Amino acid sequence: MTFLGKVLVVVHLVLSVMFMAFAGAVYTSQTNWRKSAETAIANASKAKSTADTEKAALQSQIDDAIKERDGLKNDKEALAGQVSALTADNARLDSDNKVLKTSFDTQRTVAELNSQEAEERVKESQIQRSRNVELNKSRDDTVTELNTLRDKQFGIELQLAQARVKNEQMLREIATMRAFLASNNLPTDIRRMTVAASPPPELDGEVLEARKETKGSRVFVEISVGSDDGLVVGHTLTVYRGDKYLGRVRLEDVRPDISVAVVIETAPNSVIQKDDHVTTRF
Amino acid sequence: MSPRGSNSAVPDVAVGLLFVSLASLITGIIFLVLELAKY
Repeated sequence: MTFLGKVLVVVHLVLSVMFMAFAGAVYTSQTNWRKSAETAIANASKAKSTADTEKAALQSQIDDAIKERDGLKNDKEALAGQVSALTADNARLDSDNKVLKTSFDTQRTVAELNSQEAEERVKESQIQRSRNVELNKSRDDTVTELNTLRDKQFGIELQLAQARVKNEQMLREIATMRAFLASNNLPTDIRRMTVAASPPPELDGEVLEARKETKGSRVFVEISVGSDDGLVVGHTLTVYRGDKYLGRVRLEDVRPDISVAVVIETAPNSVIQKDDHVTTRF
Repeated sequence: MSPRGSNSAVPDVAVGLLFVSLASLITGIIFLVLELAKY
């Protein structure tokens, strides 16, 4: 065999081994495209059926959503009507709320005033209670004092009854004495008896004023001596001016330093005047 | 090397390599057939 034949044998060998290696590699590592294609077709059909099912479901959901949208539109319109009605109600309630707030403020003010009045009444009640206690104590004291006074009144009434009995007895005695004095031609007037028992002391005075009675003819004079000088009602004094006798007066009212007397005797053609002199010496 | 025209043939290395090449070709063909048989 020539050298060329040997070279071709070697080349043939190398190419054969490479072919075998390539075929083995393909056999061992090549993907089964048919099976893959079938699997892919099956998956595609399955996915298609799933997609159809989901499409139908989505269509039904779309229909439901459309129906729901229509329903929601209707609800929206109804709600819009309700919103307008509620807005009107809200406005009315706002106005009512303002009125009620005003009324509430008024009522609160009234309640505060009532509370203050109640507090004042409580204070007044406490004051009245303390006053009541004081009044009860005062009433008890008054009752005790009243009982004491009743006891005194009883004693005084008893003394008064005894005094009345004694007075009646003395009146009877006085009547008997007056009858006795009258039977013996003695004065029974107490003034004359007083004058007779106590004659006026010797003294001089002046006429302070002389005045005629408005209704009547009696003349009254006011003189400058009185009970401090020893005069009593009923004493008679002589009135004179210089050496002239003017008349006599009898005392009707005696005060400590002055006296009032009535003219009982007047000298002819003479008038008793102010600054005339009176005396008990004659 | 045997003389030309002799009755007793003596195989040389090239012939052996040719057999090996043939075997490799047959093996590759078998692999390809097996692969195509899947389709």
